[in-house]
Formats: sequence, C-alpha cells, structure tokens
Amino acid sequence: MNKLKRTSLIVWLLIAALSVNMSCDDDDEQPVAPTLYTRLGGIDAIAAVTDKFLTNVASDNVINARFEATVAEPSRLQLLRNNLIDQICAGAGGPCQYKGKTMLEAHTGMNISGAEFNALVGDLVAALDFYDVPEAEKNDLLAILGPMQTDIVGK
Amino acid sequence: MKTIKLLFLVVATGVVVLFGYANVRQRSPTEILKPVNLISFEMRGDLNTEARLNLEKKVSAVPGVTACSLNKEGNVASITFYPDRITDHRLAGLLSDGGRLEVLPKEISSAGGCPVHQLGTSFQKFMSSLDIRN
Repeated sequence: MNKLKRTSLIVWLLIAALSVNMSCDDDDEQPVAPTLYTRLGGIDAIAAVTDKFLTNVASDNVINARFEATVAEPSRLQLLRNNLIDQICAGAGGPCQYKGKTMLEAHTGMNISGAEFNALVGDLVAALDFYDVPEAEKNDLLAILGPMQTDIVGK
Repeated sequence: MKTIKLLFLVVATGVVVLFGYANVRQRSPTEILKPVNLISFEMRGDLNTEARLNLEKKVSAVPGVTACSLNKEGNVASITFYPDRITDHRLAGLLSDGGRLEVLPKEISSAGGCPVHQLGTSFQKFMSSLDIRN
C-alpha cells in the first residue's frame, strides 16, 4: 500500500515538474509586442487626440471652410468624430471597425489641394504634440495615415 | 382573428429579438463614448503666441471641455465640449479672458461640409436607441 502511495507521489511530482518545464518553455517565447493602439493609450487617448484635431481643423483658416458645416451640426459631428476615432483605432490595431466610406469615395469631387492636405496633417501633428505623444508612436500613426494622400488629393 | 393573432406573435417575436440583440451585442468603442458638441468663435483683441497658448490650455482644462484650439492668427477659437456640463455662454466667457478679448459666435454655413456618411448608420442608430446600456 505504501509502495503504491510512493509511486503515485513520484508520478505526480514528475507531472508537476513537466508542467513547470513546459511553462518555462512558454516563457522563452518572444513576448508579443503591444499594438500601436495600446501604446497610444487606448480609446480614451485616441478620442482626446481626435477632439483636439477637430478643434485644430475647425479653427484653421486654410481648411475650416471644408469642415464648418459638418462640425457645427451635432449629429454630423458625431459621425465624423466616430469615423476618425474608428479609423485611427482600427489602423493602430485596436478593437474598432471603420464603417465609413473609403477615402477615395469620400473625397472624389472635392478637389482637395496638396496645401489643404498638408494643413490637415499639420493639425493632426499639432494634436499629437499637444498630448506629448512620443515620436515613435507619432511616426507609426502618420505612416498608417500617410498613404491615404493619393486617395484624397486632387480627386 | 387567427391571422391577427399570428401577425401579433410574429411582430412581438421580432421586437423581442431586436431588443435582445441590441442589448447583448458587442458595442463598438466609439458607441460607448459620450458625444460632444463643437462651437467656434471669432476673437478680437491683442493675443500674442504665449497668451494664445496659455488661454488654450486654460480653457482645455475646464471640466466639460474636451479640447480647445485657437488658430495662430488668434482670430478663431474652436471648442469641443459636453453640452450637459458647460454652456456656450460660459465658454465665450472663458475665452474673453476676463473681458479683455471680444468673443463673437462664428457665422457658419449649414450647407456643404465634408461627407461623413456611414454605411448602416441608420441601423446602428436604431440599435443604439434600443440599447438600455447607453
């Protein structure tokens, strides 16, 4: 009887040792790098930057005429705000889904100039700087949004 | 009579299913965010860069304000805010910097603007209206 107990104890110890070893093996794997969404600070931080971006755009004499009618109407403002947040959040690997039109569909016929696009990017950079977003996160975000220029300018 | 009963049953089931779906579905992060309003003002008066940035920071820090920007010319200010927490009038008062600056509501055209149509917006709005978690 004692022999049986001893044997089962040894078996359990072996299983435990194996489990520890396996979990150690897991620890050796490369840790998953946090997404840009996490590094930016999640949805609240993105919403704060988006609000600052919207006020920058609305007060920017170069481009505010393009946005005034939209941002002054609360329901249209919510759609624009949610689209911007969804777009940044989804592009940064967050749990959002962009539900708006494609950039090409949305801007076709608007004849947006390069100067207007640059002013918009400047307003976004100013919003990121206002919240002291680190250079690496800022560049990663701009790298995601930058390629949209070809679908926005001169359409 | 039987047809009416059947129709009622179908409609009632539909309502229950829609209501149930609206309240158990996973909400998007933006759906949970509290909506904001945006207002723009014309500013008149002397405002150097330092004073402009200070005023911008001061107004941004007021409870109920989510963002405030004054353009580099110092003649337009825009603010996003929670309308249930702060009024337009109080915002104008804050921007006047103790009456030193003249603050006027900005005339804004209601036509045009950028397109913000969302696919399925109406359906989402309907679902949100049925969601008692909002």
